[in-house]
Amino acid sequence: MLFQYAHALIGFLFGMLFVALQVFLLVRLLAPRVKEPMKDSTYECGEPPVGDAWVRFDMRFYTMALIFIIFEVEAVFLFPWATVYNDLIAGLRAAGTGNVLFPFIEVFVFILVLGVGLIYVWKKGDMDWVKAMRGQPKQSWPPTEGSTGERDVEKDVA
Amino acid sequence: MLLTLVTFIPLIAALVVLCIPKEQKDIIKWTSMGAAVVTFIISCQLIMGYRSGGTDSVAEKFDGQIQSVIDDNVADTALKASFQKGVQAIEADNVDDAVGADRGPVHYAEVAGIDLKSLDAAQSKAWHETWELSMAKGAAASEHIRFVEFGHWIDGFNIRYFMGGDGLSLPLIWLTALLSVLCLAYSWNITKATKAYFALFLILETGLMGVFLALDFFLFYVFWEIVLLPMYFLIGFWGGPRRIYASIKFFIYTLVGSVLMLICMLALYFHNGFDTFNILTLMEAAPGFSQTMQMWMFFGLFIAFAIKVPIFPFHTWLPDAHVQAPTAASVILAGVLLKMGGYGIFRFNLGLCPDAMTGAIQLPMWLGGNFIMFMAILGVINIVYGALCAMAQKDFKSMVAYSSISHMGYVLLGLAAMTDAGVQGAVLQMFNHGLSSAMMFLIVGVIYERAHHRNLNKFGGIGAQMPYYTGLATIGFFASLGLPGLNGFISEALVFMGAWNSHTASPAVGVFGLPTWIVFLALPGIVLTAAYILWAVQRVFMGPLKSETYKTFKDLSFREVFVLAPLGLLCIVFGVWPQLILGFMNDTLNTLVSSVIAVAGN
Amino acid sequence: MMFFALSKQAGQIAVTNADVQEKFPGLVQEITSNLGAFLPELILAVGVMWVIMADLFTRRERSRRMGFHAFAFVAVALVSVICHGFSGDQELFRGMIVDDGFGAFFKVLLLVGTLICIPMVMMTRSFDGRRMGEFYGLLLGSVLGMFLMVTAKNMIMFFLGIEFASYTSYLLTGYLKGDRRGAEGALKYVIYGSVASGAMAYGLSLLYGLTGSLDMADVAQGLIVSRTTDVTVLIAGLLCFAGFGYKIAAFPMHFWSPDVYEGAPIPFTAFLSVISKAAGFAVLLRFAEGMVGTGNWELTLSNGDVVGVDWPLVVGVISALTMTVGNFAALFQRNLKRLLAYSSIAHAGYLLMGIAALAPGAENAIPGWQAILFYLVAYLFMNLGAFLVVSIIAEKTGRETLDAYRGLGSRSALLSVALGIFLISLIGLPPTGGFTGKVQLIKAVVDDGQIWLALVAVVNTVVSVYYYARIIRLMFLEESDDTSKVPLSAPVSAFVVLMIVPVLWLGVFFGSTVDFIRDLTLTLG
Repeated sequence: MLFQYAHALIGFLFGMLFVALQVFLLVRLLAPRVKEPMKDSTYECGEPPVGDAWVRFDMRFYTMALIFIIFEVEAVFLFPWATVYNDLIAGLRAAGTGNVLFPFIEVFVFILVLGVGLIYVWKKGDMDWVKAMRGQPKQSWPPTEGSTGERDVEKDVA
Repeated sequence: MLLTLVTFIPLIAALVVLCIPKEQKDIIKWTSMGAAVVTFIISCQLIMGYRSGGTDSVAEKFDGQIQSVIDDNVADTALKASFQKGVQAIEADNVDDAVGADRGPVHYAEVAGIDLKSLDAAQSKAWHETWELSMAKGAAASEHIRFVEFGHWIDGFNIRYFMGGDGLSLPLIWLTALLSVLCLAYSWNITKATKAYFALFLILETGLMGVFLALDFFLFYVFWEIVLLPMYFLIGFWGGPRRIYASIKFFIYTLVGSVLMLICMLALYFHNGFDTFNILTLMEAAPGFSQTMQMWMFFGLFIAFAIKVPIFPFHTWLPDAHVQAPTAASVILAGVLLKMGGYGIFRFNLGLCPDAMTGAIQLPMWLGGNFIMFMAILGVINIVYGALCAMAQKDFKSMVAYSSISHMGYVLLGLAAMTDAGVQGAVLQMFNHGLSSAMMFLIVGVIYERAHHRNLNKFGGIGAQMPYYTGLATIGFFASLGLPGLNGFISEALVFMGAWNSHTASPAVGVFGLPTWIVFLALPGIVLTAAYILWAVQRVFMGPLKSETYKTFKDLSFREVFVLAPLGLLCIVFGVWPQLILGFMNDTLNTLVSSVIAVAGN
Repeated sequence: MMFFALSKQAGQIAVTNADVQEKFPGLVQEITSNLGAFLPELILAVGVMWVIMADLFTRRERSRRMGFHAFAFVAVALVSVICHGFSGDQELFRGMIVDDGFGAFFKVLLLVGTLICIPMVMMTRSFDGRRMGEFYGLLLGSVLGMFLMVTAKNMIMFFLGIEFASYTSYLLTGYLKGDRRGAEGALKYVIYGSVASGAMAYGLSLLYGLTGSLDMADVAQGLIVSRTTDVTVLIAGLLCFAGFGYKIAAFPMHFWSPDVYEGAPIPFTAFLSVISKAAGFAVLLRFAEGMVGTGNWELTLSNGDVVGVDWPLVVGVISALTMTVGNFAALFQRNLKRLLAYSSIAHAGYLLMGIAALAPGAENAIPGWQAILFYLVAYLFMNLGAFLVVSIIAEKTGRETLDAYRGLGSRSALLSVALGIFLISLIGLPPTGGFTGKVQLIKAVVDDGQIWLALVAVVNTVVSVYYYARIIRLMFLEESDDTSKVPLSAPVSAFVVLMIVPVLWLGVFFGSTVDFIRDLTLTLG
């Protein structure tokens, strides 16, 4: 009977209502209104959508996104692990076989592998927003006056 | 042991030559020469030994081998006895010429009461080898094979190192060894990459020896391909101006043939669960092959060998290759390589497709109706067309090349006759052509070295200038022409006798006989041959000197005499006393024919 | 579709904490006991991290030394595979991968190939002044992915393996930043690769839908039941084949290979043309062998009824097309790398003959897979050997076109003779491994009664002579203006000689290799 799916339908309708409510109503009521040109831009993160849509934009967004994924994946696996950790240990203790540290070692190896990735990006300088050019001293962010950091960004955007 | 020596001494010498520094040209030459001479001496010994050896020794060798296979692998006495019973059953069928009977290993296992499924791996291998050897023994006896050598090569596929010589192969072995010595002597003044030249020549000799001696199809194929590469390089590196075109054409044509042969080889291997590459075993079993199988085998193998012979319409590589090749390579090419094709047709087409050779297999009319007519027509085309082409040539060497095509036509015609005379004539023609064409190419080489051109129309009056040369050249040319008293006459006469006799003699024993008109069609070939040879002799040797430069030509050097004189002598000897070589081949050839006739009789 | 399948499985494993306590110890024991058979993979995984890490703390000028590190890891992995032996017959990690002789054989093949490629990389000058740790890391990673491919029994696993190997390959193809051809090749590779992966994922999910399992053995078993849906099976099979075909560069999934081969650095081209291909064949073989084992492969019943899809014919046609396309395209190439790319497409065609002949016919006959394994061994040495010479010549002359080979015979006897032998082996003439390998493949199809395919193969062999012999001709028969000798150091000469030996050995004494391959175990579950 289709009727048994009614609760799904209700949930669906409720979801729609909720989203509509949130997007159109709540936002209008609660959000502060700042009249600023930046607010009208498509991407508030700083990429002005001016000119051709086929602009080259900064590779570092990719790098950052990838680094983010490393930790994202780590979290995805670590949370479930953490919830059952005590049970794992208890199980192993009860059985008396195998190393009790096994769950810990397993995750340690996992983190180690991710750690290698972290060391790699760190050492390669991808953690810094402004990468050191070969033969130039490292720049700090935000750039001090007269530094070259500013120029790089501008050039890339253009 | 002798066969292994005769095959591999050149190869070992080639490896030695490769290790000699290339500046030491004399050492390289003498090492090569030494190896070739040793090979020649051994080949002479083979020839002598063949005539005196008895059949029994080979049978004993087979028996000993079979016995040791059984003893080594089968411990159980009851099983041993049934193995022996199987051997006896096979041998009884060998004598009976049990045509059409299933002669596979499984059949004989049933006869002997061996349960193949209960055997372990070693035992079933042993049974297979016992079967293979017992079958081969039958063919070895009827082919009058001697000097057999057994060895295991790749057990997984039943590939053996199995060699042997008979009346068909040993003359060609001797010819190969002789021509190799002469060619190396003739190549003494090669200056371009001497080391590589001599090494390649020796590898070529190994390949040729192996082709004629191998009795395992796989081994045969390997040697067949080994011949290909040295020849490719000899033509391509030391050849004339269009050598690259000629060498690649030679390579590709021959390879087309050999891959066809490969397919046939594998089809035979899998036929009826035989799982063997042993040529003798397959020959012994051949009467039992179905006609369809034989037809396709015949086509595949025939095309493979026809390209090598070469037979019209696969002949176009030959003029190019011959004309461009250096003299010594041309000599080997004409003298021995073409015989590989002829040898293959005799050994494989005759041995493995008996129904095709009796004319029992029907073909469409445009292919002649049956295989005998098919071959005869191709033979006649070769004879007449080759002669006509030769007559039209302005280039001396290319005339000689086309004359080879014409002469190899006789081989085909003689085989198609399927009479004793015809087949003997055909094989003798191969041998004789090996002598006379080798001589003709050397003659062309000698004059080319002096004049640096080969245009027949530009020569003239050489006879007065170089009398010894002319004398020897005349022997070669007349031997090729078929003048009575020289060797060419005997073989051509035998071929014609056989072919003429075919329509009366062959049908009497159940073999298709050639109609007489075929012989008439071939006869103009003789006239045309006489015409182009005499015309060439006239243009080169007679008349006034056409150029002042010819006056500076010296007569033959000692080295050239050393090369030409033995060939001239042999042309005369075999012309006067053909029995010397015929008696040698007779046993093998007669049984080849009679085994086919036996199939027809059934 | 894929994710659906995954989440469905996940849904079935509803764990309670009591379950965890009960089941976990057994699981731990299973995993730890399986780790021994997984040692080579672990070594490679450590190798990947080690090379990348060590490179970070090495000065740029010394970065080339990472080659030695990578070489050592591969060598150790090779030793561990060999020590583990070729007679394993068990499933690992709950049937995700298997430990069998077939897999071990391929692992050895991959590792030996990599061992040959690494010195080639170290000899390449275009890598000078670059950090090489990442290159070797990716290379080892690629091998690791292929390890998973050749041992995978679960469809998810081999999909992941293929993806792992592919992604690293994309990166390695475009490793030389700023090289336009490399970038072009890498981009084409990515695009073709993702289309092929997508198609394969769809095919696999169809198979999952038809049979309800991801395990190859179960799928093959399940297909017997669903024989009525022939068209679906055909479509699913062809879609899967898109993935395999792309990996082995079979028609019509071969378009990427010439551009990639031409654009990639030579050592990596060699790696792609041999090692990657071998891994692809391993997966395809295992997949197909599963079908053969359950009788899904053969076409006709004893009463002549047609049942299921005629896979031998399908693969046979693909094989014939692949070799023909490869050979005819190779005829007109002027760039040797590109020529070898097309020739390797042709060789994929020859190898596919073995797959077409998988159904064993007469007794004592070699099943197609043994022929394929043997041919891959021969192909490994002859093709890598050819690439080795090509890379040495490219280093010395800076050219990859055929002109660079004019008159090589007089300039370097060793290199030209070596290349000559490799090319003769690629043609398939005795006494080389290429010949014995090709004979076995042709034998397999003849035995299976597909004479037409054997004829196509031999005609192709003849066609291939034309372009291979052209190189031989250029080297030996033609003369070049440049007659300067090509200097070779002793280790490089020894390396070249070392490659010739197996090619000739396999041509003359191939019995032991054949016996070895025959005795390999194949675990299909």
